Amino acid sequence: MIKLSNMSKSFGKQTILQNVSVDIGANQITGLIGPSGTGKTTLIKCLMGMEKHDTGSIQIDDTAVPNRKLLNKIGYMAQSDSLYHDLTGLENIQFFAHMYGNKISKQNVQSILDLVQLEQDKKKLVQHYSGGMKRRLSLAIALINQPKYLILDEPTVGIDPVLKLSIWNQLHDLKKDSTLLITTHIMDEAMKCDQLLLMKNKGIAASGSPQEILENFGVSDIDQVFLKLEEQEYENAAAN
Amino acid sequence: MRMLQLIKRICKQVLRDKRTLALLFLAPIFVITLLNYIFPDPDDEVTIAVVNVSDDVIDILEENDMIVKQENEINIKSYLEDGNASGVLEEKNGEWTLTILNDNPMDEGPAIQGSSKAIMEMKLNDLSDNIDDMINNMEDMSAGVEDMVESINEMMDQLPPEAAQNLDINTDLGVDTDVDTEIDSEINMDEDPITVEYIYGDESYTFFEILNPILVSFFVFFFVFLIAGMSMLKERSSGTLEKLLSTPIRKSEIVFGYLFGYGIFAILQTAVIILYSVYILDMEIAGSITNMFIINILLSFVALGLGLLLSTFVSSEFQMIQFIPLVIIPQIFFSGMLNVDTMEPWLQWIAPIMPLYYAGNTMIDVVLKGFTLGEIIAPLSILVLFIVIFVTLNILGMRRYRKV
Repeated sequence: MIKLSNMSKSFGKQTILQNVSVDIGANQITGLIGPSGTGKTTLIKCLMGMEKHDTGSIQIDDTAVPNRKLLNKIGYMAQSDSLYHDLTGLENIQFFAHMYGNKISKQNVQSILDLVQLEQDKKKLVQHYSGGMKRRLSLAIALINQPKYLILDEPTVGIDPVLKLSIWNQLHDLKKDSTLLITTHIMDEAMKCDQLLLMKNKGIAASGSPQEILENFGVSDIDQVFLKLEEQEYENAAAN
Repeated sequence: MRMLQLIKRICKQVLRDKRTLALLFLAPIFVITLLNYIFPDPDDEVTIAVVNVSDDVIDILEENDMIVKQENEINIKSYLEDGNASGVLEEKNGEWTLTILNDNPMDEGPAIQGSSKAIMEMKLNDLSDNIDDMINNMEDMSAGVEDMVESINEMMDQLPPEAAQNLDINTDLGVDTDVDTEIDSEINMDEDPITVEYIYGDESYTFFEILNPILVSFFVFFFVFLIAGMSMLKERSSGTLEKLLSTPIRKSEIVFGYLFGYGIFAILQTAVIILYSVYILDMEIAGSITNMFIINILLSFVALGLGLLLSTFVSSEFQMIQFIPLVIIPQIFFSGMLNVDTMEPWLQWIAPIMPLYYAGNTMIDVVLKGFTLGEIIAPLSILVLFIVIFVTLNILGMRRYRKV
């Protein structure tokens, strides 16, 4: 269970997140959506302990963040393909597996390779991988420690539709053991999430299942929700 | 455990990167070899042109291993520009002039020295000739005095005894008429007028011999600094550092992993450079080769620490290169090539913050002066201190990327 209460974060004078309070439910896919620059990545970095939040608290399984040992429970896939291009796919997986300790077995590595369909290319250097293969390898590495929490920053950027579908199917399979937090700004992907957190103006503007959100705003797709939010903001500014 | 895996990964990556391997091992060998041959051999003869110079001087010049070309009516400037000789020596009314282009101290230095020496010798020869003449004159004079004394004695004998008593001439004048003509008037010019005693090494030492120990340290420092900095930069810009920090690895494990991973190659590089210098280029070492290893391995870890640290302040390879004129080049001046004690006082304050100041000077102490481990323990401790400082700063610097 991830619990944020009254969490704020600013860089210098610029406030990125202000008084964010949210619970991220277990065993479901939570989508963090919103325009660029609304603090999605900052929120994730605060969850990982890469950035320290200024005020408020973040708790993961009742442990206060930041905490290095918590990282054992978290799998992380960054926006960029964070891979060693001069190592093979298998070597990349093995290296990161070792970073979580000895407990990762050969079987586990094999099942993950199968999951992301890289068994054929595991001995190729990553620099010869296609964009989609790199993305799949990054996902495989994020899964290597069988994380209880899986944090994926735009996991399907640059992936073809067929693969995208198969990745989403895999993500839904992972739900039974893991809690997933996914950022995206592709709105049709948002619809595949169980829960949505709409980020706007340094905080979470709306939350709920995709259907709930659409009904609340009386619109037919998520893009329009943001337009509505924009209108509300404009009206509030005029009223003041 | 994690650290070992990190070291293993770094080794794999370096071994696969042929260009980096070449930079680490072949580049220093290439440059050191080049330097070994680029400095002129001190046995090389210097060519000097003479105009209107007596044969005596020419003989002396030739005795001093200089090639002498006799010339008349030359345009000195163009003659020298064409590389016909390193200098032109002229005599006009007893005034000696040596003309040089002043663009090549390596050859012109010996030309100046040789010519001065030749003229000094010539003048000394003249002087000893004069002394000979003086001695001859004195011998003539003393012969005259002896004749006089003898004739006085003869006169005395012919005088009546009373007269002789009254005169009371002491013919024993005490004049040492026996002038010691055994004076070695021939000052022996075959020997050097001065014997040079070498406290360290001998006269066969060339500039390269003094430069080489410094260069060994310089290359170790330079290449290790560059490779450590670049690889950490790559780790950061490719996002793998962030990914690495999303695992429970400790920040210190990353820093030590990097330090030892690249440290292995730094040690290998140091070994290659030292063994090549000593066994292939015949660098003479007065001290022990083990001490050379200790100095340079410590220095390579300083370079690793500094490279990793500075890489956190740059955002591209080009910015890393920009550190070379700022961080690397100034250290050369303080590494023992120039005497720090005679520098401006404020420069003397800068020297102690430079790792190469300790390494370079200690290398000279070991290689040329044969210092033992006990005698170099102080600078070695300072290098260790540098390592400790840089490692600590690196671990603290990792906080930029992860707070725990």
